[in-house]
Amino acid sequence: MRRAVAAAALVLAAGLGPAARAEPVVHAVDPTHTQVLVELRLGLATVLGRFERTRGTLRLDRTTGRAAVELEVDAASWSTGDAALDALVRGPALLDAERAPVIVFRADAVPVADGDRVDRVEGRLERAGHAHTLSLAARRSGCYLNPLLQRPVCGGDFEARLPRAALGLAGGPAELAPTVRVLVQFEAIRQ
Amino acid sequence: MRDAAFALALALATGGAAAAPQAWRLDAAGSRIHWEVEHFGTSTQRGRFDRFAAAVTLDPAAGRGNVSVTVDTASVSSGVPVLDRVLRGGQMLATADHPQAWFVADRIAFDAAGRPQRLEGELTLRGTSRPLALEAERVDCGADGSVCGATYVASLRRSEHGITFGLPFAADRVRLVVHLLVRRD
Repeated sequence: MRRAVAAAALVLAAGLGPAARAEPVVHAVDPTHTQVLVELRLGLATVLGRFERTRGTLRLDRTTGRAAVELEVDAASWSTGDAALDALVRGPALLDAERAPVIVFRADAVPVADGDRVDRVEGRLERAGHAHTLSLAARRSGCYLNPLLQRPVCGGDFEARLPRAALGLAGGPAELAPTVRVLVQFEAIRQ
Repeated sequence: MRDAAFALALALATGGAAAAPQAWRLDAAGSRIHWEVEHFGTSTQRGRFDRFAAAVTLDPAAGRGNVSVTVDTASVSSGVPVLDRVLRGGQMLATADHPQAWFVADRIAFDAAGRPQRLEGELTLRGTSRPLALEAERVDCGADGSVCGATYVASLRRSEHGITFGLPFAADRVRLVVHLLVRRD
């Protein structure tokens, strides 16, 4: 009898009905549908590179309308399709992938409207022991029920245009333009 | 008379070269074909074709040109190995049977500075040919005009080329973004 009362009190205290959850729902990043791309200008050429290896978590709390995301990216997974350029970008003048192998993007208290819509993700990028502000605009966002996985999936397309110096990446050859465009494809599967 | 004067003025404006076809060489390291497809209407899946050749001849003064791009379809690269295998497989690009795709444009629209803005032609993909037009987003020829960096975009429906796997979860519409770096030959 006492446990039933205590359980009922807990449900009431959370202000929810029996079917809803009281805490953020954890989603695991789907690495096959998550990629971080960076568009660079190298002299007159435009190059679009990508970080192929990602992992992370999305915590979505529909009761507070807030999400938290943590996305890890392997610096060594950078790829443009050109070996010489890849070696330069991964090298000590820029990513320094050997000494800073993992780049982490973290954002807390991301406002989520209508249960699954995000406009902006204000976060920080951590690499080589430093943190840099990185704010991404959502091009599209939402959640859907994936019929193949039989699970809800939440995600979107996000982007930013900013000076690479603001990410601690001011080095490299003079032909590498100072402004870069960051594109993030993101999908995370409810656990 | 007016057309001849205009052609001469254009030739002078573009560096004094006579109105004659000019061949351009592709710089492979600075050139890439990218594709984009929406996934469940939620996020954009992107990839590249890493190996392709191009032959470009342009005659802006005469308003004519020819662009021919040949793509090694097995060089498709999404960054996701399991997806690359599906892309090369029989239900998508079928690269074993169709090792090449090509785009041939013989109608070129130039802007007032003689830069190609629209390349109209035909795409042959998975053995099926359909009209395709590439529109310039950027054409940058630097100081002496001997090297140009450009970005062209196009949109196609993959089902028109028999590539129907994954519909409708992976969209029918494919956006192509072609980054080119070319040098005067």
